Formats: sequence, C-alpha cells, structure tokens
Amino acid sequence: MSARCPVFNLPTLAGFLFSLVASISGSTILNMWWDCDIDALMKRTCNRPLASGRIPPRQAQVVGLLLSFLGVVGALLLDPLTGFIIFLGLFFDVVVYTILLKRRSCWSIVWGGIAGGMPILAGRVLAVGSLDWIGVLLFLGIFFWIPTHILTFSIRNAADYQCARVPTFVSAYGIEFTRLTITISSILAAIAMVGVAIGIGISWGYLRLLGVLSAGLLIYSVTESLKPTEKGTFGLFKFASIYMLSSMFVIFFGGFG
Amino acid sequence: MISTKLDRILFLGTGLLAAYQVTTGIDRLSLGPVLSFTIAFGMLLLTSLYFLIFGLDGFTSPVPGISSTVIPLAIGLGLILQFFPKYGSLYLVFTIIGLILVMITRSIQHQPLFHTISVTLVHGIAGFTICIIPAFIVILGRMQFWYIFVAIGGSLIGLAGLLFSISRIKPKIVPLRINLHLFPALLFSMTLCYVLGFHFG
Repeated sequence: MSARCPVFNLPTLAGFLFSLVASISGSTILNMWWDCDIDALMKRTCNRPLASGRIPPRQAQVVGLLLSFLGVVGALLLDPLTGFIIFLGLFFDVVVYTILLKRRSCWSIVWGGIAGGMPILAGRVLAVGSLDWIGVLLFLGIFFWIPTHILTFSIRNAADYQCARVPTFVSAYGIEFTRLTITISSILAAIAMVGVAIGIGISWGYLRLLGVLSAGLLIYSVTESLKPTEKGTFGLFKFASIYMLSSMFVIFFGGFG
Repeated sequence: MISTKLDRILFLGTGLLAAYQVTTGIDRLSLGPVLSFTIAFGMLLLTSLYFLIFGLDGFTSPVPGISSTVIPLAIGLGLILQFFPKYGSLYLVFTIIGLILVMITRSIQHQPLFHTISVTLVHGIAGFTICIIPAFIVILGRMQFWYIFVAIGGSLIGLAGLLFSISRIKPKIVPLRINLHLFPALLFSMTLCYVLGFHFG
C-alpha cells in the first residue's frame, strides 16, 4: 500500500504473505534452536518449547531450515530482488545476529534491527519494482524502532541477560545510556515514518493524525530522557509499539485519500 | 489503581473517536480552526493512549492536569476562530497567557491558592466559551441543531473538572476512587458529543 498502487493483486499478495510467514517463522525457529541453551537460563524464555525440552532440537532445526528455504524460494519466484532482500534479512538475523554476534557484543542489536527492517523493504520493492528512498525510510522506521523494543527488555530483564552472559547495552554502558539510546531511536523512527507519509503523499487529515502521534512520541521520549523511571521506560516501549502500528495504519488508509 | 476492562474499552473508544476527529472530522474548516481542533483532539487522543498504557495510575503524573487545560482552551480557540475570527487574536493571547499561568502556578507548590484561582479563571472562561458559542450559533441558525452536542461535550469536560476539584477538597463529598472510575466514561461521552456535534452540526 505504501506504493499507492491502484492494482490489488491477490495472488502476488498471497505469495508474498506466504513467503514472509515462512521465512520469519523459519528464522525465529533457527534463532530459538541456536539459543536454546541460554533461553533455558533466563526466566523470560525458559518456557519456550526448545528451552524446556518439549521439542527435540534436531526437529526444530529441520523445520527451521525448511521454512526458511521455502520462504526465500517463494520470494525469489515472485521477484528476484525481493527474494534477495528476504534472504539478506534471514542471513542477518540467523547468521550475523544470532550465531556470530549475540553472545559476543551488545551491538548485535544493530544487525537484528537490519534484519527486522528487511520485510517492509521487501514489500516496498515488490510493489514498486525497485529500491527507492521511501523503501529505505520504511526500513529505517523499523530499524530505529527495534532498539526501543529490545533495549527496554534488556533493562527489565537485566539480571536474566547477566545470568545467561548475553552482553547488553545495560551491562556494557549502563541504564542511563541505554535509556538515551531508546529515546533517540524512538525519535528517529518517528522522523522516518513521517518522511514516508510525506513521500507517499497521504491525505492532509491522515498527515495531521501522524503529526499528533509523532508529537506524542517526541514529547514522551524527551520527558523520559530528562526524568527517567523504569515504569516510564516500559511505557515508552508500549507507546512506541502503538505508534508503529498506528503509523502503518495511517500510511495504509492515508494512501487511499 | 488498576483500570477495569470497561475503563480500557472506553479509553480505546475515546482514542479512536479523537483520531477520527483529527483525520476527517474537521476537514472542511479553515486553517486556524483546523490547527486548534487538531491540538485539542490530538491531546485527547494522546491522553487516552496514556491512560491505556498506565491505567488509572496515570493520574499521579502531570499529564491529566496539562491535557485538561489544553483541551478546553484549544477547543474554545477553535470555536472563536471559526465563528468570530475578528476576536481570534485576542482569544489566542488569552489562551497562551492562560496556559502559561496555569503551568507556572502549578509549579508553585507552597501557594496552592494561586493555582486554584488561575485554574478557575482559565477553565471558567474556556468552559463558558465552549458551552455558550455552539448554543448561540445554533439559535442564530448558522449551524444545525446537532451542533448543540459540542456544548454538551463542553459541559461534560466541565463536570469532570468539577468532580476532581471536589475530590481534592475536604470534606470529601465524592471519594477520589469513584471519580477515577467515572473519568473514562466522562472522557468517552465528551469525545462522542464533540464528534456528533462536529459531524452532524
């Protein structure tokens, strides 16, 4: 919809949906398969099927690889560039983020963010047939939103991560710096989404609504960085999630205007 | 204090109605009123989201105080700019001074009387504007009867403010706990009235 495409192509949409569901499910399963030892050490994740031993690791590995393969092949059949982007997302998530960096550096979340932004970029590329600046902004919107999500969890579950020896921003740089990073990334995510809305040319009314939501996120972020509290940080995480969902709806419906 | 499911549904409903109002409900107006109403309904939207996230515990923060001042002032300014544009600048000055006055006196903790006087004055004028102008405009025949709902919305926001004022003084006629549970319903009803008034009026 970000392309304001007048043609609604159900087979392409269904194919893309299948490809996304398969590749994201596959990468998530592979992530849990690789991390099942550290998941078992953390209170938040110890009840996951692999960590609790309800599913054999070998079985999960096979299903994860199969779904990932189907997802990438499905996307490649739709459009080679879309398929390549889906493959990159999977590669960054499973290989770079999970296997290579997660246990070594707190900066692994950057690669997690890159992986997280790939599905929306793939959708845009499939819709317009090329990589354009609006696609890059959509990618950046998700890329900057992901630290808000992950870093908030790392603050709330700092003891868990420490127990599993997973490096986080909290353990490496302290809570103050982590909160500041959350604030800055929330603001950058909002700027990216407003840029997308302007670039697509959504109607004036929807632009007003996005302006209100962005102003809310901006005020909340700045207030939280000036007067940080644990409850407030978690509230910011919730607000940023509502913001991202709402801005997607605004771009979707505003595109009709 | 934990909010109930009904409270959350009412906050969500308030947020959706306010979002509708920002998006399409004020489209046919000129720039000045659109900006004022966008601030008012945008504030309503953000306030309902705030209470959805934090529940009724959100009352311990300054957010309700700020939004309960901004919303009536912005709606009042929008109405003046829409129907009596020649008084727009004067009302804009009142809005800015009023907002600053309420914020400053709020921060003076040891002199609550100043805050009470400024809140009463500013809210009183803004509330009077919201209640009287729509009724006057309907009587003049410039808007349809439904526009009277804007005045009802104004009365409801006044009622909400009154309930909280009563709950803060002694002896407590209405306990704060009951007020907190009335608040989501009042917020929703008020927003619904505004939407009905602006849409059909």
